[in-house]
Amino acid sequence: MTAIARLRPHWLRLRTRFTVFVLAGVGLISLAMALLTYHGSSQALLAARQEHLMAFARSQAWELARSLGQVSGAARNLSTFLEVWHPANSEEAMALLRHHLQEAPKVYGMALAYAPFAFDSRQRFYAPYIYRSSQGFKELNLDSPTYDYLAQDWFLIPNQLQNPNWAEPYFDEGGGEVLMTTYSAPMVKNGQVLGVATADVDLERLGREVAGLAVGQRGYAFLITKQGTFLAAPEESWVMRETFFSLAEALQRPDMRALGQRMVRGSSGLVKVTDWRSGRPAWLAFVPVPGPGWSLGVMAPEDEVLAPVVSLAHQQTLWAMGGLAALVLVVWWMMVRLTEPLHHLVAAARRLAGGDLSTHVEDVRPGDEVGDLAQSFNLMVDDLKRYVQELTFTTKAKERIESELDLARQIQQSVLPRTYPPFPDRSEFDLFAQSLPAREVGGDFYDFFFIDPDHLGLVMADVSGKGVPAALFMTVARTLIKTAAQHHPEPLKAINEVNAQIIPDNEMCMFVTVFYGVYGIKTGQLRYVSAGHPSPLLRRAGGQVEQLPRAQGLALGIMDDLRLEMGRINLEVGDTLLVFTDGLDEAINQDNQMFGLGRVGQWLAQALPNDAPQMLDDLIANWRGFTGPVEQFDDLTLLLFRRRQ
Amino acid sequence: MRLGCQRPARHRPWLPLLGLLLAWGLCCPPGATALDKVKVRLMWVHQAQFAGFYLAQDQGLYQQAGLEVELMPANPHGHGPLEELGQGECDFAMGWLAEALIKRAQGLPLVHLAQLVQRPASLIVTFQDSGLSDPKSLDGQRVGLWQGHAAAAPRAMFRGLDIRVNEIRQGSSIAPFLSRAVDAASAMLYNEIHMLYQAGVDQEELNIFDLGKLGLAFPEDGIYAHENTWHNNPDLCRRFIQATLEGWRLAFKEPEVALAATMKRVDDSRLASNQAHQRWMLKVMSQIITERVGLEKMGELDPQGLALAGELLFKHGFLPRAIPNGAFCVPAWQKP
Repeated sequence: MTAIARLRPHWLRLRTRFTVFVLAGVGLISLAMALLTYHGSSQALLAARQEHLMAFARSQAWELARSLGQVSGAARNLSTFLEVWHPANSEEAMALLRHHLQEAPKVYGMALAYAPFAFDSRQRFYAPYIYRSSQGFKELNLDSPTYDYLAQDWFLIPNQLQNPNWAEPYFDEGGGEVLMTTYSAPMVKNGQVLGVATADVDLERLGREVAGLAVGQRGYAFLITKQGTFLAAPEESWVMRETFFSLAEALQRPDMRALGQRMVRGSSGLVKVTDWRSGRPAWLAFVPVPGPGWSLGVMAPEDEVLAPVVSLAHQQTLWAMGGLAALVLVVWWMMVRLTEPLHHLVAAARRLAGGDLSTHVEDVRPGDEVGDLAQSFNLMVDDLKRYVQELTFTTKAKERIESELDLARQIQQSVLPRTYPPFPDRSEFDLFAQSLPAREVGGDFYDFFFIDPDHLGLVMADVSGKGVPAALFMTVARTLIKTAAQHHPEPLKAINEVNAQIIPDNEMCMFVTVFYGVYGIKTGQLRYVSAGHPSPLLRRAGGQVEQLPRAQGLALGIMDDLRLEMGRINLEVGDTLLVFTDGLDEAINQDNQMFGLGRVGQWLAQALPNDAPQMLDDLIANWRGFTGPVEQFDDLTLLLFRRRQ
Repeated sequence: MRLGCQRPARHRPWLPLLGLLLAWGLCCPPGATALDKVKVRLMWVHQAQFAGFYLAQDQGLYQQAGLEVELMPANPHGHGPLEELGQGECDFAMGWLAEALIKRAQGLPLVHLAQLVQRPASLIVTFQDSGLSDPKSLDGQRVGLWQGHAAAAPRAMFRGLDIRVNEIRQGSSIAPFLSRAVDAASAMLYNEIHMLYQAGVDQEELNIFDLGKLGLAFPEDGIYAHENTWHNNPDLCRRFIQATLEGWRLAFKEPEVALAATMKRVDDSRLASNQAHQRWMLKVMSQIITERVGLEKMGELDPQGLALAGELLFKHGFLPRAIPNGAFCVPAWQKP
């Protein structure tokens, strides 16, 4: 109990503890697996999304190229046609323009711009232009003092290069009056540029088309020219005015400048950038637009690119949490199932501790460890019950024997003379004896009786063995001694007679040591025999102590001839005789030392000459003080006789 | 984003008018003296090259000088501003010294009122990969040249080097150069060089011939008037020049205000330009206008520059004599 009390108690009950541990373990493993899965799947998904983004950009660039192909095709057709056919007058030229414009719905306006004197040798400039307006087609002549078309990019560049060209975006003031870009195809005849045929693209329309490209929710597309100028942009104000590089300059983004250089030089690629509009990470796919050599950029915010990954992660997390919740339920249910029988066991154990031996653990299914425990518990209870029944029975038997022994003791005590003074009418001596049997019934006995009015017999005997047999043998021996004493005044004869009577019937080979003395009241002489018994101690009236001279003799019951000798001693008035059994001097203490005759003699020498009972009590107290807690091994019987007169 | 916030003002064309009306109403209580109306022809489209004029106008400096000024941008493809002085289409015009000297020698009676750009900013650029690495190699090549005011210095250089180039008329665009329709192009330090940068061309990809360093250090932007205007109303000329110079001082003190005034006009004109470019231009203008003279003597024409231009133009046959006849420079820039 103390060992358990010293242990720190658990914080949590078994159920909770088990659940928490399982949950923590499984949770950690799930988390690790989820992270691994997220990493792997996000990489794969990101790669797929990037590929998708790139493919989208590429397809849109092709779509744009196809659409622009209509525009450039219209101008090229016109220029090719004019290389072989010369309109006779301006009406024919205008009709040709009108026809071509009608055929090309994506073209905003078309012009024929002739080099000086190329259309008509008398006319320096000739540049008819036709464009769409809300009121239908409108016609113009671009030749005006304020609109020097020869110096305009759309004329100058193809004229110089003798190659078609897409112009940078411009606001066509004095021309189409819209933000536009122009495709110009030179008309070349004999190595001479006759002029250019142009087709315009309305940039607002183009911007709407590019802006209409669905790039997620916050993504956007943009289109830049070879100079980096925005043709279509998420911010309308960028178109024509800002270049990719001016934005990079304003935002102080050298990375953006390097990226722009890759774009205007016709590279394609996919890069992670910080979106210059939102300042957030994004993926930019850029591809050149075949034909004009522009670059289409498709910007997709990274969080949108990763959105499926994130939603996958959310889903996985939800599933994992749901799984964990289910696991908790299962574990909890299992733990309830597991610990419920333990509760029954605990309750049963408590009932058992309360003394209910009829308790049993009934509702625990066998077959597992807890079932075994319950079975063992039940078996233990059964064993305990049987043991307790046996114990009860044994205790009862013991109690009965004890009560019987107690009775025997009473009977035994009753047969010994116990009154003091034993002979109230005789004042010549003081006499008292006491017996402390080692078990309930002892084998020692004493006796004193008058053989005749002048002679007092004193008996002290010690039967071999202990308990009831010894007591019975003692009773026999006592009776025999008393009877023999009546017939034989001489102690020697009396004891020999007793021996002669014991020997034949002594099948159990018990024997008895006997001190028997006959005291002559008038003479003060004590005649005695000692059949194997220790010699009594005598304290003379003067105080000196001596042991009675030893008289030879064997114990009774051993052989026919006891070879007894008889001793004689005269007691003076005040002399005190202490007769005892070996339970006195042979008693041992804790240190295995014997009480010994020396201590008895010492006591006798120093004892106050009180009444005999007081002296015996004093001796017994002295003796107990020596033996201490050591259990009494042998019977102790003492007899004190003092001559008074 | 700042760039994205610039909405073209064409959506609200009445706004500048309203502003002017308001300003007029506030500053000119009824009964005030009527303002002198003057027309000014700038040299180019609206840009930070003229920021001082814009601030003088926007901040009411002209009005304080009793002027109602109309600033007219030039058409890069149209007539030269100085020619318009002769035709009476404007009261004041901007021009380069070399062109002004030639025009005066040709009989256009114009006078120099103030010199703005002290150091020449004219350059000729070629691509490094074209192999045209020195001015002499331009012989026989297609070279983009602005007509009018800017052509004198390069032509003087070509004659000095004894080379002939195929002159291609250049406008405000750098696309012909970028698309290699021309082999070399004229460029201003404050304009085209940076336009090329904004087209993704790094400086390392270009050969840049600085005319000033090649011995053609002609002072450039100046303000001119017909000599009749000066004779008839010198006070008007002085008031205009002083207010303009004050506008420039303000522009250098408050570059962001000057930039905003510039961008307003760029937006209104729907020009293909942006704020980063104009900021760069204003910075360069600040350097080349205040060089040598600082803010105080701004407007002074360097006599050495004048002499050098006269001598060189005379030497190469653009002028009949090295020194202009009569009073060419009038001290309108000097504070009274």
